[in-house]
Amino acid sequence: MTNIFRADVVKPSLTNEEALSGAPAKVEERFKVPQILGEAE
Amino acid sequence: MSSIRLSAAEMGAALAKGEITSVELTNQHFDRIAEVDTAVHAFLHLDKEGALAQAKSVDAKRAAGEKLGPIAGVPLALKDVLTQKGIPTTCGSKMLEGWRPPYDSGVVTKLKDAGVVILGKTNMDEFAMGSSTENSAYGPTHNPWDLTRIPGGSGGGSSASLAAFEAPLAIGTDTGGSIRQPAAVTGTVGVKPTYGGVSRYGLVAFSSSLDQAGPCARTVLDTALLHEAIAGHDPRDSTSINSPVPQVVAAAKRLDVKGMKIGVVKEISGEGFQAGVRTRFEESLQLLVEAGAEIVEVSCPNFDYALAAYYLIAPSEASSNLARFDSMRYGIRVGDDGNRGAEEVMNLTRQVGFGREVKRRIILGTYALSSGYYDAYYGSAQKVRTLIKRDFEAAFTKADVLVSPTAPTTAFKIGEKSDDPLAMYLNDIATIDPLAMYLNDIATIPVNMAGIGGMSLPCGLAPEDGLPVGFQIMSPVMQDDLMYRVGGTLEAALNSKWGHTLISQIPDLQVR
Repeated sequence: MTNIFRADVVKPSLTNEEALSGAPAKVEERFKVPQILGEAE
Repeated sequence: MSSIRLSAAEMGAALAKGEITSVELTNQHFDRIAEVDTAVHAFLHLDKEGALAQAKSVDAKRAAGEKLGPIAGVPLALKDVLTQKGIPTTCGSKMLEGWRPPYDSGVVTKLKDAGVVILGKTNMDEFAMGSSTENSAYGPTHNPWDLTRIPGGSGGGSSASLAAFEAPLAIGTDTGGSIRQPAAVTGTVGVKPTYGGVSRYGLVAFSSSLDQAGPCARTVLDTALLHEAIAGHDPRDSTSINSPVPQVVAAAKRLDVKGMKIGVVKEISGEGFQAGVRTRFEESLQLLVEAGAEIVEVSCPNFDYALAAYYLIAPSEASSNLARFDSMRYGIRVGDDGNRGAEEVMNLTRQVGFGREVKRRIILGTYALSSGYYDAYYGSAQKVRTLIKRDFEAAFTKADVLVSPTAPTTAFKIGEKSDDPLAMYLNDIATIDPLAMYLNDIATIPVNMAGIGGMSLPCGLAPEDGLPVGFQIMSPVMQDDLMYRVGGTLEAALNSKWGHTLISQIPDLQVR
């Protein structure tokens, strides 16, 4: 059993726009989600 | 003159000789799809524009004298569980309706590099959970041999597209038999490579320790050509094996099994299976003996527990994997009216987005992983898995490959087993009824549990119903070439006995 590490080199990844492309709702380049904290009981 | 009934290897040769262009070949397949897919329903999405652009590009490269691979320019049907950039990927679920992934899966990257033309995405049981493609949220796929019957599952769209001559190549994924069982019931060939042999990057996960993408086609050689195109190490999949791809194309062409030992696994060799399945399986064994192989019987006693262990491990992993569908980053969102909180929206979304079978497995998996029961259920199942692996290791000391029928029955009728899924589910686990839905996978599941390779190829039509029977060959880890060697030899022996291929005997599709 050996650990496998990749080289610590920056590689291309999804752009902000691509990462948000499937979001059901977005606002200001972020995911827009329903209220998470302080929900009514 | 249409070329759609040629094998992928023959299409590749015709393209290389300039007898046909990839654009022409691609258009012939789209014409065929337009003609028959209203009846078959193999496809969920067609990408005419992308396919023709790829075909044009391959034609241009060929015209420029570039050296191309053997299946460059040949069309393919892609199971809708693998991402393709910008192309809808639903996994047969309402949950992902409208989603267009922003990246290519590892398999799709390899296909594009090989010059393969991806026609579209094929139907499947929702999130690959099922053996009949009846669990798709978009309606069932019909078996081209008999449109009232199932094409197998979960990859029924891929297998049906091959049998209907809508594509010569297809990609499937196999968690418990979802490549091999559809191949068996449609008279086509399907291979689950060794776990780690083909990248899982961009394969929407059902049960990560069991899932494996693999090649499907109408001949053993075509399957091998596709296998070599998609296999190999991918650093983006941490379980991908970093060693040379087995030489499966050479093995498929070898047509020689002299001196090989072929082990018949006693526990899955036909007891309780349909009579015609057993008949064709035993005839095939005889052909292998005539070709010079030695048949030995091996016993894998722990296979008796494989199904029960599988239905703990797979749902457990599914319940964890499917937690990602939370309606926040992709997929549908239901009930977000500005007043409801996130948890309530997640609940509403999952109620609407998931079908019954998916919910059933999430509930079962969540229960099996719950704190008081984890060791008793999931822990025990993992121990069974080790025992199954040891059974295989012992068996492979006595035989080079192992064989069995792929599925206990030929294709059953649509609706026959799905009318009462809950009863079916409980019955299957409690009683050993070999004709019930979950037992479709009794001979295929041990292969996934041990991570070895498995192939199904057609070995005839059952005398009682005239429907295709599948012959399964299992080979040790990263020795996938062995099953291709035996499969290629058996296919050639069967074709020479019949004087034709099995798929050429499929009735003409009656399309209104």
